[in-house]
Amino acid sequence: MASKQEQGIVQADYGQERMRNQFKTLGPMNDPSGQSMGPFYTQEGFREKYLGSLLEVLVMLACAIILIVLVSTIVFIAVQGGRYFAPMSAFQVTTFIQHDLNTANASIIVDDSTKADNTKKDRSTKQTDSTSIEYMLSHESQETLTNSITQKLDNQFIDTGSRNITVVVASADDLFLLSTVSGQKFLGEFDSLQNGETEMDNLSQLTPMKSTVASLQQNLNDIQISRLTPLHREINDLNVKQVSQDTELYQRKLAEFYQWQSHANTIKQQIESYRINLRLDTNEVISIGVLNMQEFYQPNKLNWWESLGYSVEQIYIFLSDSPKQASTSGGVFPAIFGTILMVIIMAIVVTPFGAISAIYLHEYAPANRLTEIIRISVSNMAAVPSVVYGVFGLGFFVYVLGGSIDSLLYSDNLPSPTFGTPGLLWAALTMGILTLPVVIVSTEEGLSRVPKNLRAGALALGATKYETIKKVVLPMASPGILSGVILAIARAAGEVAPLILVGAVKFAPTLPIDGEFPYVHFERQFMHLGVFIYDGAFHNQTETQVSSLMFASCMLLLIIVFLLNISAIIIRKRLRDKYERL
Amino acid sequence: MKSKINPIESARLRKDYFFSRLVTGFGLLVLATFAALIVHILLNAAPLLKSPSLSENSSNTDSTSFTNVKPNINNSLGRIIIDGHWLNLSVHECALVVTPIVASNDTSKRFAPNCNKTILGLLQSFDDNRQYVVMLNNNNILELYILSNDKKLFLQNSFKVPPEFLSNTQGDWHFARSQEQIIIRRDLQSNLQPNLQPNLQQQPGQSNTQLISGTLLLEHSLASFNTPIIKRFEGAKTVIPMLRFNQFIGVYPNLLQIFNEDKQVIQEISLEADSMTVSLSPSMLDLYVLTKQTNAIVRYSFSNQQGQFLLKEDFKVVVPQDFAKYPSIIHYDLSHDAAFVFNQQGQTLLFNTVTGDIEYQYDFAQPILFADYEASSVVLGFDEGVRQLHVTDWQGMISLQLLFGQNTHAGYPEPSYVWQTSVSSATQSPKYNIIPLLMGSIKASLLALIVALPLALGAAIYTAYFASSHIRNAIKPSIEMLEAIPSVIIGFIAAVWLAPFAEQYLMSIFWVIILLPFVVLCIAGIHGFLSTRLPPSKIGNWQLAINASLLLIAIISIFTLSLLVTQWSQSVPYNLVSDAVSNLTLSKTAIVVSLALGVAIAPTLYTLIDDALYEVPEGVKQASFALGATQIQTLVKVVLVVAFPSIVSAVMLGFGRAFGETMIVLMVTGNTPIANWDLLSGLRTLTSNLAIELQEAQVDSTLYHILFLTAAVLFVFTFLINTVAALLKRRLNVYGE
Repeated sequence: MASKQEQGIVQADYGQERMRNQFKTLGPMNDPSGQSMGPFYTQEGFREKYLGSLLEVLVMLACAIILIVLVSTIVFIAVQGGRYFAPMSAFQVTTFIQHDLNTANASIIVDDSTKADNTKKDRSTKQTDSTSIEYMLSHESQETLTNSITQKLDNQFIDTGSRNITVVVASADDLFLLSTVSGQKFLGEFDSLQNGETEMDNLSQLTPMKSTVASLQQNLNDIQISRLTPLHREINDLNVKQVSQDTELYQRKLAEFYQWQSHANTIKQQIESYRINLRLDTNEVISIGVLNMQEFYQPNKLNWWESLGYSVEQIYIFLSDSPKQASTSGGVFPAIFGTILMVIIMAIVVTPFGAISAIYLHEYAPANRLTEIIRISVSNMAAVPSVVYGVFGLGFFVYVLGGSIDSLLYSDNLPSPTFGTPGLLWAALTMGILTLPVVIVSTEEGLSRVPKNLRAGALALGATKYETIKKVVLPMASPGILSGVILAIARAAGEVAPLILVGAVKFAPTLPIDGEFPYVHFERQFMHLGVFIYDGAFHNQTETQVSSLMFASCMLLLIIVFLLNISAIIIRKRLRDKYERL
Repeated sequence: MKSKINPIESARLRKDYFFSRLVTGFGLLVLATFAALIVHILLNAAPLLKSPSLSENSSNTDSTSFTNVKPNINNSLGRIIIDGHWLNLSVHECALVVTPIVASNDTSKRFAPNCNKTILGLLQSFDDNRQYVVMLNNNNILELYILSNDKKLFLQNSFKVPPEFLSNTQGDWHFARSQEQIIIRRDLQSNLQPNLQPNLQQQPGQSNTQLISGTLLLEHSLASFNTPIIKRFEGAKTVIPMLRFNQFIGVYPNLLQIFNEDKQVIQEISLEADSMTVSLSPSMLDLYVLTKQTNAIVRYSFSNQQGQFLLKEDFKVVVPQDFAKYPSIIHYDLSHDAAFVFNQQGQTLLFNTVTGDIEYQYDFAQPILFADYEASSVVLGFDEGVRQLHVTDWQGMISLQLLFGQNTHAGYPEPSYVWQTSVSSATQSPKYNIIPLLMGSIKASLLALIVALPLALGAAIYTAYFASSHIRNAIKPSIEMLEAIPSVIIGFIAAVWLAPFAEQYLMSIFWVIILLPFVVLCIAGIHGFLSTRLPPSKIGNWQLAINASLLLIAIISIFTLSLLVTQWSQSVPYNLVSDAVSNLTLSKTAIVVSLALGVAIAPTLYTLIDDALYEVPEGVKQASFALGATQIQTLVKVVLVVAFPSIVSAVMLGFGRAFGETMIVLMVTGNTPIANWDLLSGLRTLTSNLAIELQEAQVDSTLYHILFLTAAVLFVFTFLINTVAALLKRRLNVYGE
């Protein structure tokens, strides 16, 4: 308090003119009458005003803190998630661990040179007790990578005094990155190309090899589709007709089948014989079939155009592939698909339900106790914790409704449940109830913005109430319904707690829609973007363990939710503008 | 006047009528949905109010009828339950015969007779839940057979019994077995005294015999080939081995003695009267004693005192008059904390072993010859025949005391609040006390409110009172936009980044928090200085941005500075401060949760408070200014006062939101149900508990009903908060008018 008073006295010397200026800035901006208030010529008044200024800054800073925290959250996610799409550089990390008590000072050498013999020289001069070379992919720069690895090693050994740890990080430009179809990534030096027994050192053969493999694969597919499948079907038909295996026809077909099959097998072997060999950091050579190869490039030699191409491809993979390698690579397509499907089913349920209920509340409901109770229940439904809906969904939909459906329609499969287990339909219905108040409130807002005299005009022209609502009120209130549904969808996309209980899983082997009858499988469990993120955080507890795929999923979810919310706001604003003109 | 309505007109009217019905139907459907929500949750919580009871099989609804099967009780070795069917084991012409007690599809099985072997009895092991048949052959070799579920015998163990154990007695054989050893007990009785209860079958570790002259114990270690050790307890009515603790309880008239492995007395407890029944629960942690004169079952619990497990009197279960006059048999169901007491006269009691409450009483009014219990199924032998009964409504064992009170559970040194639903072994019982969860919820949401309220209130005062409408229109929608960030993302960042970060840079965060008020004061000074120097038009709308960046710079510089200081102080050995800090762990504690949850509810709170402040009528403010009040006076004495009920209602709604938040607490806390208010410990809330446990809970199990009860608690809580907040808001409206 003393400091404040001192400052107050110092400021009192500035003179009246300045004080008046200051007062102007402090007064309410929209309040011109503010100029005539307060006895600010006395010291008391000045103190008052300084306190006012302090208070204003305080509340301003509170506002600033909220904005800073939330914006930095978003920026953090964007940066971390964006990394998933950025190409990484390859590094060669050489670690020397010296068990030498005399040279007990740890030294870190950042080696810019890329030559391998340089590190070899280091090795020979320092007489290390153990040396390890590791190839690494990273977004970090050389220095930060060196620091982080050294820190990690330091933490590993408790008695750092007796050891001399040297980490050399060199950017390894010669290294190739090979990613397989199954999402594995190998980093290593190119060793050779292989065609059966013959080995080639020339990398330029890779492209013709690829095209050969592709044409062979095409051949194989052709044989399988146009030869083997029909033959198999014919033989099967003969079996069904109970034709004896001794007949000429049967034997001929069988011989033909075996002939094509052996042909297909040779092609398969041929395809397998085209391989690429890569020397890994453990000095071990791995051989990977060209067919299984998805990407093969030198990460450090990408120019900006290729980097951009890489990023675009990465985005495509992220949106269209399923998670691979324990959710560290691949994409989140099943989660996006599951989320969208769940949300569509939910919207189909909740839109008519919410909209018609809102019409009842706003247009039809008499002003009596019952209507009040309905309103209270709507406002309470909005406040009920979301996990309680999950409890209701599991108890009522899954166990009660699903259980009775099972005992009525799927009694053959019992005791293994069909609908009596968490699944897509129950999740959608649960979310439908959860988002019902959102739709009702938004629709009612839209309805209340339709001017009264339009309704009166329509009724005066002889329209029934139904016609008035259908032809006059609803078209004008439709943006309200739409924004309500959009907000409901945004809520459903981001909500996780009830979904864990009623059917969303971290990994579902099959999509809820496939070629199998009845095509849409309402009873299947599905993946949800929010649940995917939750699971990722729950099982990898620190930042370093969490793959950037998780952050990328967070970013995607955030983008979806924000886009939906912004579109709802825009629609609502349009609606508002429209009626201000009326 | 009745005019003729043409068909088109009538179709229109019909449509109109139909539509109005449809719309009304949907309106009522909303109510029905809400009602279904409440009713379903309450209905599933309601069975907790019932009491457990014994009833006949569901197929046999007539409660007085007896099943007509009458087993040969004289030869009965014991009764076991296999695949849900009770079977009677008996010896008939040297052969072991297994017959179903209650008529069922099962057929009886007769094993090949072998008169060289004496079938001594049945051993039911609580350790591995298996049934063994014990036989003695002519060479004094004792053989232990496992009776498998498909009614086959497999030899598991055999050893030679020393002749002195066999020679001098006619006492009954009693067996007990643990993973390591098998103990055989024979209570030696004087020949003068007839066996009073020849048919009341005994469990291992239980006694109801009278007037005996001592007990012989034979100990055989299953892992070794050593000759079995024989221990003699002179004058003991019986001896109860405590298998896992290598101790014995000697039961003497009016006295209990605890022996250690070497047969030394380590504790003596004198009883008020002659003990009628002494029974050790299978968990080996509780001893129940019924004495002749007292009308109570006294529970003694064992506690570890310097490596020895000693008894301590715990509580008394008051039993009806005359109950204790007859020997009884006690059966335990550890998974339900239940104990059945059947006395010889047919009186039956079911009491809760934690609270000591009697949950069920029944008098069969005829002597019970034997009583067996297994997996909610009871078989009672009467003179007329055998009666099989089932326990229904187990969830009724849960009482308010169990849910909300401090309870002494077996193995716990003192009364405590414990939530532990999954147990590691069959001898432990699940504990359903929801106080830790309630405390976790309240702790997390109160702390979150402490974090969020100053920020939200400040921000709302700024935008609703100080800022120009231009700034307000920019800030309010953006904060409202941030309200839409899914909580799973905030939880993700808090779990993955904030918790490790807080752990790593604890000291720096500490400094930032301490220095923040000074920074704010400094910025206020700079702001005051700038506003006097610069023409107001120049800084006007940029005030917020300037102050925000100043704050950001200040925080970052304090952070880096303190980081440097910490690094320097680490190089100085034996630094007190750094030592103290290194002992603190901040990861996954209540503090981190409160930060994350605070960030999550701050936008909601801000929106509500901002609306409340903005709704204060302009006229009220103008009147205050006109009376000569300064801006700050108007704010503190007029605006905040008028808006106070609304602000309180906003705070309540924010609290409700934090209370119901699931994902953040689920991801950020370690989900440890601890009942304390410590800021540096983990917590588990009601909501995250539901998310964790409900899917695994079996339908209609006790846990399932309790979880629905917690859902009902959440529901009622938010309902109350919502209602009170709405009432407060209404008060403001009255005030405003």
